[in-house]
Amino acid sequence: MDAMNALSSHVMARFSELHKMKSEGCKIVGYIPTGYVPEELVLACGAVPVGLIRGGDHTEVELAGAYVPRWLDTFCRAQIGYLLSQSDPLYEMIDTLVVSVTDTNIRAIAECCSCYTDMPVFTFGVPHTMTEDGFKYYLAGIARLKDKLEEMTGIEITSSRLKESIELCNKEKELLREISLTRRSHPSLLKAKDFIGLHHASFLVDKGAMVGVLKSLLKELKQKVASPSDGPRLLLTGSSIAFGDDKVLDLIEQCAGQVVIEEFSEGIRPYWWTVQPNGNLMEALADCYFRRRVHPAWFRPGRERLDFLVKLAKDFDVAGVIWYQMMYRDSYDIEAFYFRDILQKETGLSMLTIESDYDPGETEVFRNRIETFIDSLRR
Amino acid sequence: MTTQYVEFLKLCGFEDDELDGEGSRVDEAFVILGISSSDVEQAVKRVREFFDIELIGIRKALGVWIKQIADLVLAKKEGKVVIYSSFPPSGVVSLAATMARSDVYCQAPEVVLDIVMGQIFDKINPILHSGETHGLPPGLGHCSLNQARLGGIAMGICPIPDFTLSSSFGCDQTAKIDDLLHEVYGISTIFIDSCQDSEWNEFPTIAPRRIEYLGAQIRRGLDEVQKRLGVEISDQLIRAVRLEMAKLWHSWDQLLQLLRNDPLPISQVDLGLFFPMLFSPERRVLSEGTKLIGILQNELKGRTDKGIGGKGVAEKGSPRVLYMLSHVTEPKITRMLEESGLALCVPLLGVLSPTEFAKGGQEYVKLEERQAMAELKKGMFHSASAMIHRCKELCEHWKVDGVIINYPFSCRPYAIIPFMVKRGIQDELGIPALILETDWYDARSYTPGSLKTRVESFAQMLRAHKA
Repeated sequence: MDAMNALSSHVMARFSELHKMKSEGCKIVGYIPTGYVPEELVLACGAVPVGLIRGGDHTEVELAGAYVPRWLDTFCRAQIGYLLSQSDPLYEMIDTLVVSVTDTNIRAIAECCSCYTDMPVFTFGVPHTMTEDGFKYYLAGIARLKDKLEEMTGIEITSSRLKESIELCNKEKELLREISLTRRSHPSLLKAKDFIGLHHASFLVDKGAMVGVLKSLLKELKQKVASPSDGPRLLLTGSSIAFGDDKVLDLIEQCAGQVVIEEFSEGIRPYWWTVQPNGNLMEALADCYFRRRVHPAWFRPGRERLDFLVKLAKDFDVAGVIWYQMMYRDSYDIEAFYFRDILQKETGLSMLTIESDYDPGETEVFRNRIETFIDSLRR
Repeated sequence: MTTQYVEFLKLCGFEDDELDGEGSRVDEAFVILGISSSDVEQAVKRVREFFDIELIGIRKALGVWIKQIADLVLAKKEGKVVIYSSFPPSGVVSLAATMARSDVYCQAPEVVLDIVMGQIFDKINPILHSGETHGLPPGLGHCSLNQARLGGIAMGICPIPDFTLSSSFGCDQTAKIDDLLHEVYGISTIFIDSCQDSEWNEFPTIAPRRIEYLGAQIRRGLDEVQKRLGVEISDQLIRAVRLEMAKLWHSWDQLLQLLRNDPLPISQVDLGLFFPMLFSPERRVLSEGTKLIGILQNELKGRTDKGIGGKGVAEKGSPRVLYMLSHVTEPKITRMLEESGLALCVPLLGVLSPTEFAKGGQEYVKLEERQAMAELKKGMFHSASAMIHRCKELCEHWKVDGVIINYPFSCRPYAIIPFMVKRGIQDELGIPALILETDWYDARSYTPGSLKTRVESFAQMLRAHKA
């Protein structure tokens, strides 16, 4: 599709663009895309937000082994590997790392960078329970982030600048949502790999350009006639889906399954909720990013996410669920145990659980399991 | 005498009146736990082999744990309101719940199971296996402390609690197990939260926002417990609870000062009976703990006056070592460390640090905030840099020759720190450090044999270094 081609061009050109912007004094703010860092704040002070979402390659995980034992989440170890080895020029380029501390695994990224590098690291915590104190804590955290960004750039984040960036980011999310909803059609109009690719690109590409691409893509999709497919429709959910972690998506496609909806903690922007910029804009940000969104598995209690997954499964008329998570992401692992029964009870659907350590040796094992699962759904 | 296990219970410090009063409860508990008379015979041998039973204090400590297991398995049967706290708990909330009503039983069941079924009876493995089959399978780095908790409930050994108190400010796994317990067993949970988002090297300073948030969570926990129990938890009660906890820890710290002597008057195998008591205090511990520590302190003073070493400790002049914690289910592992010629004088997690003693925080008036400050000052709930600070502080305070970073592999918070701590100790203090990946609560994979070579090499190096 033309829009996807255009997006590829933006992505390819982005590194040079960032390089140029940095040489002209622009600040590059790297962040771990947990869905809790309001890009709006970064944009509003003239800095460039870059979501650090590389993964899929075991090399970086191994590199992290010099700094942390293996018993942490694979995606987080990969980030530690990329940040500390400086093997990826994008990771090397950032001026500061912002980490919204969600669970212990994500915290490890921030603490490793602080301990082993001179990179400025800014952390703010995301409470694990939905209480008024928790909301205030999160709000205070993004307020500290705002102060830090202003100090770093020398640019005040005024209400008008913030409102403008909120509107831009809202537009991006609304378009992602509309595009996602087109996949309720039978068959789906857009491959999962492409949809996830949109998210990954959105963490890198200029926001205005991204919105332009999404508008074009939506237009194309509305005119598109989907190729017939009798492959079972799937919900893909889990902890992280990184840029470069294509193994499971490719295998599903090779086995003629079609992922029509996804839900992940890292790698998929939480696009179902937009900021309602009425009144206090910082509170509006906190309301969207913390209060109204459905939280990942580490939240306590975690039932809301599971109910959300059931809803997605029904709304997108899936035939089965693939739970794809990283090794040692404990909250997900434990949740997978009892979600299976909840899913069965509420939808009659079955679930396949896969854990990855980005090990190339996993491929054929995963193929076997995915193939068997998809075959069972066909029957 | 109403018990059939007189020899065993006397070995565990039971007095005659206790045999009469509690003996039959213990017997009943043993039936529920599947402990047979041959198991008790083995336990007698095990206790004699590993514990310093010359010390009345140690025998009574064993006795406190035996009484605690009876308290645990019989709690529902005896009409108690049963609350499970997770380990380590927010002590003030769990103790306040216990003290608010006489019919409340509040404890971390996994700790009781680990000490009694693990250390004393060597029968923890079936419970761990039960945990593995009910939601925490092997091979995925699940916390074996949580496996014991889940396994005990799944096996029906631990009664289904009325609710759980989740100290989710320490780790994510425990809180998620509480979610599992809710979904599978219908058990509701009160979560006490915190955010470990402090700036690197902020510690020992603690950001006010962290104290205020954890304080608010503790207050919310107390209010919720109050509501569920239908009884007031007043500030006066909270003050009393904090005072009792402080007394317990103060008496403990006084005892630990005796570990500055050489040879050590007591083994860490024996002292390992006390750390879980202090971290997870409960009614029985409050009523017997301080007195028990006093008895032991007097006995140890007697030894240090005469220069006598404890059972299993390294000889005089051995390198003095800071380590993280004694093995909670298998005494052989801690004994192996000592038999390698190391004087284990300081358990990182079982001793008060100078930071914890330091004055400060008078500006916090609310009791819950003062408690939050006390929790955060420990370091382990603060940040990785706080743990490095704590380690370095204790190394200097106790003048150690080496450090064994025997971290529990499946504990995500502790999985962050080993290399960082080693770097801090070696590079900044010039003290040799050994990273020893282990599991504090499960000896199936990390056996004494598998760890011994590395420990012996390290001990040899330390001896040469010290010479």
